[in-house]
Amino acid sequence: MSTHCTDSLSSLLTTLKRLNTPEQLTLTISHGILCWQDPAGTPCRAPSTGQLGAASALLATAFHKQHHQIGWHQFFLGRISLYWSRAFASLSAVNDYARVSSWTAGLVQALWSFTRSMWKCRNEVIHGATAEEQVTRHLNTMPEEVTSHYTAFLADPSILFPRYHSLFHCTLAQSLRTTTHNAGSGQSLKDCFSPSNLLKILVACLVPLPL
Amino acid sequence: MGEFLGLQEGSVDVYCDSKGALRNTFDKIYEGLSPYVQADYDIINQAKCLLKTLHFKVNAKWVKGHSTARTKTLQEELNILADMLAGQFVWNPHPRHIPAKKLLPPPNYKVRLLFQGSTIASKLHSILASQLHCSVICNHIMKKTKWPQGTFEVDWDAHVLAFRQLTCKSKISTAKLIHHLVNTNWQNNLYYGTSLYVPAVSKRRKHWSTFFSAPPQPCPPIAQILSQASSPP
Repeated sequence: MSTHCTDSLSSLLTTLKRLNTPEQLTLTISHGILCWQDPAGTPCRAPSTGQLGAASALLATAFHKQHHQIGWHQFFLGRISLYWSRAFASLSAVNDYARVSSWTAGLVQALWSFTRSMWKCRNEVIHGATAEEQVTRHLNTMPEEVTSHYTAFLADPSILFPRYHSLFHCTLAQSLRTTTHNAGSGQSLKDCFSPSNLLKILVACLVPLPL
Repeated sequence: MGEFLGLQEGSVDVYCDSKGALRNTFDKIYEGLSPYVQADYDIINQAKCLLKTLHFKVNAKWVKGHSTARTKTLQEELNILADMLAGQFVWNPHPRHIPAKKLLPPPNYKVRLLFQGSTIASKLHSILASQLHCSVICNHIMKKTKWPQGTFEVDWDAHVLAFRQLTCKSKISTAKLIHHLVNTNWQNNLYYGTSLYVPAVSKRRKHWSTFFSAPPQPCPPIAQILSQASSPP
């Protein structure tokens, strides 16, 4: 699990605390997340299993429904068991429907916030967080792309219209060298990928234009 | 009140914090079905009938409800008091005043629709729509997602309420995320035949169910984080 994921989980639990979630309920949700992340190392039973009392029974039922029928992945997408709200009402001794529905809506929003944060983190890791990182990633993958296009063209030149064949007149080594030279010529990566340079780089890399 | 005070002439000012209720009660009813399917028709109809029996004139006036002004007018003070009394009655009614599930028909009703033993007094359109189409839509969703009945028993009310509270921009991004409409390598592989693996991170399959655990970085175990976060400061 990444640092970002644990930070987001901590933030989620802080939000639960802000929503005046009873301690037992937070503990059960935390335990469920642990079960989901590490099914081998954590017993898949609610912490309140076996305890007497209506609230404990509702908590155990909510955990069971979420774990065995709905799933924790769906939980993070905001699809929560009906029994969580009943457990909250029972543990907080609240009969006010408006307050219970406000809590469940808050829980769902906190879960969506967590999911959005994870998706953003995933995109930053894959595509880069800043413009410079994005350009670096792109430049790093360029030689592979150029090589694959060269290989495909040499194997079957008919994949391109004849008017684009001139793009492949120089050798693979030459075009790769041009790419490296352009990327490491003392210019910043942003400058290197400015609109004026973009065309030059594309031509140098001999990336086939879309047909 | 007119009977209790013995009012036979003059006029009385009635203050209400709902402009819609005032309009529906005091304005002329036009022919058609619309007045009979509006919200709280049963109460408004009773109020209309009551107005006809009075011998004095009633002036309808609007007052701001739940006023938080530092210096409140008498009408605003009375509105807050009436709201408090109504709230007390709703949450702690006198045992003799607790209404039966099956409401008695009002004495002067013309038409009423019964739903689960009670007269429909509001949200007629949404009740009819949900009764007509809800089960069909639910079956379609379950069939499409291959969910059994147990999986479908989700707190949809909370889901809807949370979604309505989002901003317009967040609604779009959240809907895409929760309905798996954002682009992933799994979809790229399915539709464009590209690699399933994540570039520049690790040679791991990237499907929807696995993005929660990316990327791999050194960190304390989750159990420690959870215990730290749940312990009091």
